[in-house]
Amino acid sequence: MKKIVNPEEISGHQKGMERELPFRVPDHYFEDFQARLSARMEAEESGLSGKKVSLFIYMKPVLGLAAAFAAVILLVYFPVRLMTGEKELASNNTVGEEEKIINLVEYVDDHTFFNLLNEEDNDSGLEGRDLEMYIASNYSDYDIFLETQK
Amino acid sequence: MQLSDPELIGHLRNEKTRNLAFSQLVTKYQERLYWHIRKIVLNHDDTDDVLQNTFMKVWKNLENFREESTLYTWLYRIATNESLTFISSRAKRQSVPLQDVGDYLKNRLEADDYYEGTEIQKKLQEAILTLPEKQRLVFNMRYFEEMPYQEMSDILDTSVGALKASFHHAVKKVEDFITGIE
Repeated sequence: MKKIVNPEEISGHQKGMERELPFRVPDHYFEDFQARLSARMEAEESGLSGKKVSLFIYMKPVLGLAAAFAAVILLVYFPVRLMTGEKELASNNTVGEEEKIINLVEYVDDHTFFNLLNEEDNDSGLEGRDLEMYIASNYSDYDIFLETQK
Repeated sequence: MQLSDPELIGHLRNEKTRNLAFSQLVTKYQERLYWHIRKIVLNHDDTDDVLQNTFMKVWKNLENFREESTLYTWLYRIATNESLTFISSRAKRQSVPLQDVGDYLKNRLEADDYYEGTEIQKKLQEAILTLPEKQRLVFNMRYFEEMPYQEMSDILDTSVGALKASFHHAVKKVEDFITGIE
């Protein structure tokens, strides 16, 4: 407890009230104070440069998460979308070509069909082995024979 | 060997001897400033914070120290300002209205493990906490430290006459408070 020297009362009423502070300090407080002060000063001095980094430290998890999302989008989402998109496009094109041929052939009678094949400037694309396979699968031997006798 | 204030100032101004001189300054003034701060903020842990803040401010402002005032006066002025700033920032952080700062300090005093007052000492502290800030400072410096009015005037930047009047009013209020609760 801190004792103030030369106690003197303020007035008669306060006689008996010593000028003594009702406080005490932890043991060895003043012996240790200098060391704690030095430690804090060093920490604050080094903390000045550390403060600049601290914002990055706080943002690091967020930035990492954002980078991970970006990587997923770049490496997985776009390539997958690109590939499926191309496949869809390709399959759509294939279907389109096949449908065109089927529609064309459906409305053409056999006679016209063979005439078209015989035309020199015909560039329908059915030639050689494809043509043989088409005829073999769609016409009987007898039909072919009849056509060749015309 | 303890250096005199002019010697300390000389060493503090010299870059080569500054660190050692500052260490000696802390050793020389830590206890006096501690009790000065403790009477204002009351709680030991708060006092420890403010005392460290005070010496750090001293270290950072050594270049600004002009010998218009004594080293002792300059240190006390910094310690007083740091104490008042500390109380006001803590009170603001806890949304304590200005008129209730006395209650806030009373709570801090009651929460202090290093407070061991008798009943009459507790009454005196409660009475002091009812005083306005300036009167509280003047009462503490005059009653407990018996500081001469001229020194108080240098530290608080207030005329001696005004300080005497403040102390007179403070004593009257403290007496009235203690009479009232008896």
